[in-house]
Amino acid sequence: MILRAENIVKSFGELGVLKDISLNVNKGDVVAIIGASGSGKSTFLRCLNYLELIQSGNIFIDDEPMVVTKPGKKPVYAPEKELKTLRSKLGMVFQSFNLFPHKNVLENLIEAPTIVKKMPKAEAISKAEELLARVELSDKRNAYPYELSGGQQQRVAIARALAMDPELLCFDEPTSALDPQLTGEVLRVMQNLAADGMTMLVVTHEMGFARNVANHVVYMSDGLIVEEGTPEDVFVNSGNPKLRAFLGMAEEKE
Amino acid sequence: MNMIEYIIKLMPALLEGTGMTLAIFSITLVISLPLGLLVSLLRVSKNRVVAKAVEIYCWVMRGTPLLLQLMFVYYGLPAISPSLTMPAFTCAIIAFSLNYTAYFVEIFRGGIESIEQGQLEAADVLGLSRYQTMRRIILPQAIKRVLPSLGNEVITLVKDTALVYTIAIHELLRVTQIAATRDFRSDAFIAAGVIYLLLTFVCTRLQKRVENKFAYYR
Repeated sequence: MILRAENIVKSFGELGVLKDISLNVNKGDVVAIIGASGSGKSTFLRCLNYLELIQSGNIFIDDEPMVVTKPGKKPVYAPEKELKTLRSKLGMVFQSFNLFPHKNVLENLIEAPTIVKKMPKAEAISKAEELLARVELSDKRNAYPYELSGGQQQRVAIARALAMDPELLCFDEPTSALDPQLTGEVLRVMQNLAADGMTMLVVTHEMGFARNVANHVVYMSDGLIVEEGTPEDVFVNSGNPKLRAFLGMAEEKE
Repeated sequence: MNMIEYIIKLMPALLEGTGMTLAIFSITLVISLPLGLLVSLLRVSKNRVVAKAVEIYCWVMRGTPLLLQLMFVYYGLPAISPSLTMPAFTCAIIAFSLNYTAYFVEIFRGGIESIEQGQLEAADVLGLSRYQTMRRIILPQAIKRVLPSLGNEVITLVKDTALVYTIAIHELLRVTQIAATRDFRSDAFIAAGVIYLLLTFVCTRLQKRVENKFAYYR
């Protein structure tokens, strides 16, 4: 099991954002997390990536503890070195891409492999070129981020995350900052990754993606998982009134 | 003697003064720019005590006149202990460097803090250490953003060097003033003004060139 999150609790001051979230991700899974804005789904993803600290719960990556909470105690994170190793197994793609603007596409891709993994530059470059081909941006290797469309920037961001060979790639609303036309090209790349067997955890507002590409769908509301299962379970069979209302609204928007 | 002849005759003295002005200017810059960058890292450090200490330092240095600081180092320190007596030139470099470092710290801090949180997070999830993130991601972008402010400060420094005439250093303004009072003529001031203008003009051009070097991305 690549990821095991148990009873995650997170609040910002008085505001409880994650009340009790548990989720497992197996190798090859494509898990989609859907839910209204403010339901806590992005925060959950950020907790898994150590961008936010949890108040309670356990997270295991590859069955190794990243953080464990004993009853009545504060959560204890793994020591720095182990934490770094565990975190390196997760990749992250952000809503706002967050490419490094002062580096061109190729430099964005080889930055972490050469600096963090100390990979020889030539090797990192040839790998980056393969990845660029995979996201269909080979012709943009020398372009700077400002010269790219949002969709292209996000595809570079995906390639940059892949360059570190993550076992699980997390996406935080990867298409929310894009107009519908550009959304398609990013979703297509993600769909190809899924077909290649990449394990993915995707927070998304794209119901089509969740329904057609994910093998497991999680519906979150008010910091809780209200419904989860196969796309059919969630989109067709569930009679949960909250979920039905959410899906009704999502459909109207489309 | 007409103005041209007078200024030509005065030129060797003016140039010597300009040399001193340039010496104070460039030594101050060479010390305070890198120092300002280094200390700005302490200013944004997670260690509250260190950050606060730097904040107070900047507050004092920026909140009191440079002229006062200069006089304090030159006249004030020897009054505290004769062993603190130093040559005027050394005093000038100490006062100017401490003062300008404070300004540069605040400029670099502003640049560092203006970099979007997303850049830090992207570097963090890719596994870059705090140091690597600062060195490779934050600072290159921050420096580009603060270039206009740095340029301003450098031009101000050219003119601030004139303050050292109060501690009997023969820089451009002092040389000029001596000649003007001795000969009871005003053209020396005009000549000195033109020299200051030339110096700041060169600074502006250099600033433009550095900004162009960073213009390859937005």
